[in-house]
Amino acid sequence: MPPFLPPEILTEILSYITDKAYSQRDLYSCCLISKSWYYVAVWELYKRPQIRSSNFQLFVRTLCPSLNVHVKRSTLSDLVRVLDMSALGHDSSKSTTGRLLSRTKAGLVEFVAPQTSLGVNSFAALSRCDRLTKLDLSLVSESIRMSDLDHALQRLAHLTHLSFPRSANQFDTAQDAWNFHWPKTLTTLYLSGGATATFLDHIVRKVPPNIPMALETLHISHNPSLRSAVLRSLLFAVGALPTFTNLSVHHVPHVDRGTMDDIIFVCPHLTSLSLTADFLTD
Amino acid sequence: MAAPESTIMLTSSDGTDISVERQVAERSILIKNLLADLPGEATTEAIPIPNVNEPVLRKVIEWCDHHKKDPPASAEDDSDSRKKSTDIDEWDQKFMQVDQEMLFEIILAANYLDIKALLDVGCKTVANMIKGKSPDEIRKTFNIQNDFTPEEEDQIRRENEWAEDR
Repeated sequence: MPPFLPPEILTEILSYITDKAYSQRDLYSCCLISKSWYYVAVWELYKRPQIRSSNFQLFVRTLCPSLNVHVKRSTLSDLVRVLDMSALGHDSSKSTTGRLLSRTKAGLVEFVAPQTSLGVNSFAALSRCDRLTKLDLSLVSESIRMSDLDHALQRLAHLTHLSFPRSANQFDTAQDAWNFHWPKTLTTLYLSGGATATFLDHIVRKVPPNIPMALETLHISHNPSLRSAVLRSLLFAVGALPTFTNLSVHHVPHVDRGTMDDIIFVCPHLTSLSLTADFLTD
Repeated sequence: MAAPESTIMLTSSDGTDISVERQVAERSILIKNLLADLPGEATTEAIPIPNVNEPVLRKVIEWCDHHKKDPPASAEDDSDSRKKSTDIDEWDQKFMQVDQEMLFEIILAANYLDIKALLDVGCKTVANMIKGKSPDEIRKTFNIQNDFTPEEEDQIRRENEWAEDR
């Protein structure tokens, strides 16, 4: 009789198999060894599934077996913690993304949206992901209405990381920006893309500025339309927060030389700063 | 603080007494805590290790002896950092070149005796042996019985087919 390894040791072994040196296929193999291995390995396999164009349809087949309500839903979907759809091209559809989100909502803590196929139904499903802490919309190429995003975010009581979509909607009004409800727990904000400049312009014009009040870290990059004045107003606003300690600004071509010369005074609590040298006077 | 040359006695599950340098035995948090709780004179009595037989206990002691100068594992804060690397140092790799049954026994003993670093090396070794193998090859390697019914196995294959591609 070979010695039997208890579940806590199998978990320990599998924690190495989730390392980068291993492939997802190794976890798949572990699921098929025996029942005791299956119960442990299946948790690891679904925690952070690697989905690509080549396996996406099969993944959807397992998590959303049927639209037919009589087909029992798969309990595997509750095991997903990180749903990263960044490697997908046009593989998903708006309804599929929405269905995946609503199937995985019970356990999801991190969602990386696909480039395309994020629709209103996805936002409705997102708003039900109560445990979500990280939301990355930076790849989304379709424009998103800030009011839709606002509705989705309002119920997410644990969100700490938010990456803004590349393209905000041209129909966004100043009112949408002024009334935008930043999650109270938000500590890290990534801003990139063309149209965010208009949104930022609006939020800093409000008195007092409508900014996330617990912000610690701000990353700004690839903002072709961001102007010096808006950036400075934003930095003055967040710099006043005692929590604000990390800033990086890169690839903002319309920000003038010298804009950041006094950054240490504007954001006095910074402990980490990363800038393109162009924003500084020699 | 005991003098480094002090020795203690351990009794394996099959009743053999093995004398060990106290510093070596204290790589085991279980034994270390036990010794700390005992009054000084009681440490002359053999400590029973009921879950570990002689060959395995000797093997574990060999590992502890080689690693007696390692910095002691800190309590909780290392749980992430020790996960970072799947590398195993050369001496440990050689040490772990044992048959499958002994490998599992060492892991179980390290778990029971609370020797985190040895448990890690053992688990990493098993993980390395799994890498790139088919389920059938893994079962053969570790002498594990396939206890799925054909239907169950088929369902698991089908459900997780998405993960089969590289």
